This record gives sequence, C-alpha cells and structure tokens, in this order.
Amino acid sequence: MKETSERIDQQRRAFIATAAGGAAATVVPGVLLYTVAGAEPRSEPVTSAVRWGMLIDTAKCADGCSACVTACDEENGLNLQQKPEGESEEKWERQKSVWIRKVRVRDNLSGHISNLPLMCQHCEHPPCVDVCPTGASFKRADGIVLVDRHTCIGCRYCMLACPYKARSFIHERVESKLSRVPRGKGCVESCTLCVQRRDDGEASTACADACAREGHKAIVFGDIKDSESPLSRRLASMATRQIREDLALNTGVRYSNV
Amino acid sequence: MKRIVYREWSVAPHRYWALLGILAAVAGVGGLAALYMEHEGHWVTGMTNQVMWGVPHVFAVFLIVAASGALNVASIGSVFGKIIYKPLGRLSGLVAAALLVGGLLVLVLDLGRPERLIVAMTTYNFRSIFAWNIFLYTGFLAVVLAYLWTMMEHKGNPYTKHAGFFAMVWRLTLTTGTGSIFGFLVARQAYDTAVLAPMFIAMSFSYGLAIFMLVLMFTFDQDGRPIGQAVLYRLKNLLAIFIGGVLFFVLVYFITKLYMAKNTGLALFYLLDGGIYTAVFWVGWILAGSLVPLGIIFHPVRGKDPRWIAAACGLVILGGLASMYVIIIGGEAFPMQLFPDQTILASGFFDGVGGAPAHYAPSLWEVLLGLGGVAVAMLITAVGLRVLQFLPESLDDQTVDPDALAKA
Amino acid sequence: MANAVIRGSLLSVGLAGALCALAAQAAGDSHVVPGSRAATLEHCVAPTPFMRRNHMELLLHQRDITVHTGVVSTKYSIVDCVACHVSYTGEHKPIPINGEGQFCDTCHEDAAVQMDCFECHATVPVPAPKNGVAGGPHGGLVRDAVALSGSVLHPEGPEEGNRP
Repeated sequence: MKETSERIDQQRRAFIATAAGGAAATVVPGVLLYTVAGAEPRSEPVTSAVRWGMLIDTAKCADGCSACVTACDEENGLNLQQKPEGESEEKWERQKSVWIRKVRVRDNLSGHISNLPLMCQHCEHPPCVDVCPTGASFKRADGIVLVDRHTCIGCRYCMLACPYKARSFIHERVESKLSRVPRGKGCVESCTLCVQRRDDGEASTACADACAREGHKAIVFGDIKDSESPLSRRLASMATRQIREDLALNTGVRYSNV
Repeated sequence: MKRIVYREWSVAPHRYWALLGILAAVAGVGGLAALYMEHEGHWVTGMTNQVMWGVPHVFAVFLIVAASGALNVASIGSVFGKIIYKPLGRLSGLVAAALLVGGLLVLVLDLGRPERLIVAMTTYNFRSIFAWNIFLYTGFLAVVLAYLWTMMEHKGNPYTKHAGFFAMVWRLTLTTGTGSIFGFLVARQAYDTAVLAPMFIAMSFSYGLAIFMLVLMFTFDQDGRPIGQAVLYRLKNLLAIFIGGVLFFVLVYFITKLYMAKNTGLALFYLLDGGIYTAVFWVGWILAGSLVPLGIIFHPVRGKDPRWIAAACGLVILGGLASMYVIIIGGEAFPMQLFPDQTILASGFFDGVGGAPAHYAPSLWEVLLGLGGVAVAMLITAVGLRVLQFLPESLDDQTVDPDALAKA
Repeated sequence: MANAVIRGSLLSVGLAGALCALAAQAAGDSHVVPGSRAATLEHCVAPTPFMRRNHMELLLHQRDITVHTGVVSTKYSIVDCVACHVSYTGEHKPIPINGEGQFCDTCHEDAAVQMDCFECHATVPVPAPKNGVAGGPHGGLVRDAVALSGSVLHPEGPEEGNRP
C-alpha cells in the first residue's frame, strides 16, 4: 500500500506542475481555432443583468411563410428527426418535436386574420418551472427557460402545465443530433431562444434571422433590460401584449397586432 | 361486540396458487409492456405531444386515490370510534397500502426515463406539488405500516387511535395533493380549480370503499366466512353517501364552469359535444358509475342481495376509471384557449384547429401497464392475507353487534 | 494460524495484482484510438491516469455549470472530448465514438459501466448549420479536427456521418 500511495503522490505533484503548462497549452490552440470575429464563447456565468426577449409583429408575419420554423429545425437538429419504422405518418406528426409553429387565427367578430409564430414564451413566472418535480425545468439567470436534460425524468408534467403548449416530449430514440444541441429519448424540450448561439456570442436567434432574410422582419430579438436595444425601443414605441396576459406570467415574448 | 378473532385466509392451496398465478401473469405482462415502452420510446403508445398523460395515468391516479380512500374504513373505526368498523381496520390498511404500491408502480414505469427514479427521489423542487406527492405517497406507506402494527400487535393497541388520526390527516393531505396536481394548473380550463381537491377526496372515499368491499366480499365468500347484514348494509349505505358526495362536487364543478362565459365552451364540451369524452362522462361516470349503483343500493330487494351489492361496487370502480379518463384525458384533449373569441384556422402543432379536440387512442401497452398495476395491488393483498392475520374470522351479526340483533 | 496464513497470502496476491494494474497503467496501454486527434497528443486535458479515474466527475460537474450558467468555454466540454477522441474511417468519415471498439467502449466494456451520454450527445462532431453566422468553439474545433485528419466533412449539412 505504501508504494501505491507514493505513486499517487507523485502523480499529484506531476499534475500540479504540469497544470500551469497545460493551461497555457490548452489556451494556445483555442486562440488559433477562433478565427471568426465577435464569436466569443461564454466563459463567465450568465447574470440577470440581461433578459432575452422577442417582439413579434403579426402584421408583418406572412401567411403561408414558415421560414422561422425551417430555420429553427435546422439550427436545433429538429430536421434530423426520423419517424420510427412502423409508425403511421399521422401519428408521427402528433409525436414529433416542434419548438416553434405558425398559427393562423381569425377574429370571430371582425373576421380579421392574423398569422404568428408561437414558441416557448420564456415567462418570468413559468408554470413549467413551478411544477417540475426534479427542478429540471428551470429559468436561467438571463431569463431563458430551459430543460436540464440530465435531470429530466420525462414525467411530462411541465407539458401539462404550459399555458402555451410549447413543450415537446421526445418519443423515439434520437439517432442524429447536433453537437451543440444534445437531445435524446425520454426527455422534454422546447424553444431555448437558441441558447447555443447565446453562449457563443452570436447576436440573434435562428428564427429572427430567417425572418429578416425573408424580408418580413416580423421577429425582433434582443435584451429587454437594455433600454437602448432595438427590441426595447420597439416595445416602447408600440402597443404590445402577451398571449394569455390574464395569467400574468410576464412573458419574454411579446406580440403586436393580435 | 364479541372478541374478534383474526385468521389467515385459508382457501384451498390449489385455488390460492391459481389466483396468485393469474395475478402474477397479469403483473408480468404489465412489466413487459413497460419494458417495451421504455426501450422503444413512447412512440409505441397512443400518447402524443397534445395528450401526454394517457391510460397509465388514468390507472395510476385511480389506484392512488382509491388507496387513500380504502383506509377510510380503518379511520372510521379508530378515529371516530364506530365499533362495528373495527374488525375491518386491518384489511383496510392492507388494501390501502397495496393499492398505493400498484398505483405508484404504474406512474413510475410510465416515466420517459424510469431509470432516473433515483434522481426523482434525491432531487426536489419543492414548489412542485408533484415533488410533495412523492413524499406523501412513500410516507403514506410508512404511516399505514405503522398503523397496521398498532392494530395487529397487542403492544401497539393503545396507540391505534393516535396512529389512525395521523394516518387520516396524512391521507387527506395526500388526496388533496393528488387533486391539486391538476387543480394548480392555470394552463388548462378543465383543471385550474380549487374544487378538484375536495372532489378527489370525495372520489377517494367512494372508489376506495368500493374496492375494499369487493375484496372483503370475495375473500370471505371464498373462505366460507359469513358477512352479516349489519356490516354489509352499513357499508353499502356508506358507499351510497360517498357516491352522492362525488355527484355533489361534479354538480358544483359544472355549475360554476357553465356560469363563466370563458368556461362555457369547456363545460359544454364535457356535457354535449365532446364525442367520446361526453359518452364516457354520461354513460361511464354518471350513469353506470353513480346512478345505477345508487339505484341498486336503495332498491328494496336488490339492495339487500350481496351479489347485487358487489355488482354496484364493480360499477363504481368502472365509473372511477371513467371519471379519471374524462378529467385527465378530456382535460388535455380540449383545445387550449390561446386566443379567446378567435378561431384558430391553422396550426403547425395541433392547437385545436377549428375547435377540434386533440386525438388520442389508447394503445395496448398502456392498458397492459395499467392492468399490471392493478394486479400488483391484488397480489400484495393476496399474499398479505395468506401470510398474516388480516381477516376477521366472522362478520356475522352476532359477532359484530349483538345489541343491534337484540333490537331487531 | 491457518487463517492468518490464508489471509496473508490472499492479501499479497491482491496487492501484487493491484501493483501490476498500476504498473500497466503507468506503462501506458493506451485506449486512444488511432486516427483520432487524441492519438497525436501527449495526453488529455489532464494527465491520463487522472482522466481515467476522474473524467466522470469532471463531466458531471461541468455539465451543471454549462446548463445552468451557460459557460461553454471550458476544457471539460464533452463536445470537445468527442471531437478530439473520435476516429475516422479510411474514407475520412468519423466513426461514432460510442461504437464497438471505439474510444469509450475500450474501457467501458471491460468495466461494465453503461453510459447514456450519447443518447443525447452527438457521437461524432456535427457542426452547426451554416445559415448566417459561423459557429463558435464547437464549430471551430471541428474545423481544426477536420484539417488535422484531412476529412472532407462538410460544415453545411449534417446529413452523413452520424449514423452508428
């Protein structure tokens, strides 16, 4: 035993001695790798100094367009979903994950038609966070409501509790997934406001970018707490509301013209 | 009351083993179904992203609610001091514990990641009523075991009243918690109401007693033990009161929902145009599950016939399952009112286009899992009855209440 | 007396075995798969014996930090583990890291420890889609791994290379 502990001690000394060199060694290749300007992966924990949100101007949302949905699918690996062998198409449509969807509504009185994308509203008081038995559904300091898939037991209570029916349960084995967006069978997921982009220093979400690329610019993403941000200025300049505002959830996603 | 003698259930061995074999087979098939669902993923079930809690939860919540109510008989004896119920206390505790284990098993095996049960038992978010329920359910087992000990161990008899009171408070909290799983949710119009908690308590009394009575009558009948009219009629009248209690809460629920403009759609969905949910509500819950049993119980002739009483109990149980189906699945299927006074014309995620409810068709695997849970509960009961002295030797009128007989 | 002799001999055998195992480790029977970027490096983000014993602790600790605080710039990122330790076929296609005979399997099979990381995490580096802004550290590491191994993995669409 004495020899064994001596060996461990040697290893510890060696580790500490090389840690400094190792730290330098690991930093250098990182510096070489990052050639894209402005793409800063997060190294400090998020704080509540920022609150991410969105404004969706439904007047600008085009009927029949689903660029935001396609972009979200690509960004988060949802387009890699495969119907399990032997399942009917119809049932697969009802079981596959959807993080953002287009909805068309008509006012019963006036007949006016609105189009809008609907996703997790990233409430300030999320019912899904309240009901999760393990705390897997949580709100990050910067306001993004997420599911910690390491802790999620797949009970689907949060899906029951969400007032926007925003969450999806992964019903099948996931064979293909992206490195930045891990997802697997048995857990619950929903829109993450492209958290992998947030933590890589990218400016916006996939849906907002896609909508801008299509020329509609119906989705504006930004920091609600920064009064100078384009989002905040837009919110201040027009009448906007939350969907199901009577629930007083203080959502991060706001809508206008609906 | 004469001194009550308790004896193990002594049906003929071959019949006992046959019963165990059948129950074990059903439980085993349920287990295999759960394994299949876990291995393949929930795509093999009928549950979807719109109806995410299905038949397994119908069975699980039913069994858990019934478990709490099955202990009622023991409470009436220990806490309220009704002597005629005291011989039934031990069986009541056994059935309560067995039902809870069965219900919990179904709930846990339906999780998306059942292998993370350890996580569920060690990581808690105490804002969640579900997390509290985990404590309430497992604690209930411990409380019932302690309560049973006080009843069955001579040294423990002085503490029966205290244990009984504690168990009663615990189970009322448990049932409130179970009702609040739904009652706390603002998202769905069918839930979002405080009346669900007392409604679930009323349902627990009704379903728990019905199951208890069936178990009692079956085990006594098989073993040739007599149940006198004093006990039987007392129990059946009590069941009638509990059925009435549930009907009262259903009435209050609907009157209130109908009164509010925003909830009229939901109330009419259940009462008129909800398709299968309307059918199951009226035929399963109200008619077969409540009115017909009441009719039987109060019938001058049929209400005195043990076979008809057993039939009434069976109908109440079926009505209980129907009630859970209507509440849980109906509540999920009803389209969420995201835009009141607007009609959804199209949606990429089944948001109730044109007011259509979500589609749900139970799969075989879910039903097998649910039945497996029932079988586990019955298995535990059967083993307990055989091994320990839960059943009184006789419940005939002379044993139970000589005074009543003298009066009669 | 006999007991003491038996116990003594068992103890010595056990000790000898333990020492042999340690010696084998120190002698460097590598589990790194040839063809991976890791094969070209001296050791992992920490010395090999440390990583062998403690990689799970590092991952468990780091995953909570990443998920709850968003810190992704870390040497303990599982994405970087995969990118470095994944090996490639002759046609420069990445082989899923949890495949038979691949990096994870070589130890986990013997140790009979089942891991479920890759039920959710990608088993090969799958770059972010190119629809606007280029990817960050994970994208970067993929490009570097790609360059080193001469793969023709396209950074655009994750159509191939991820099926076991």
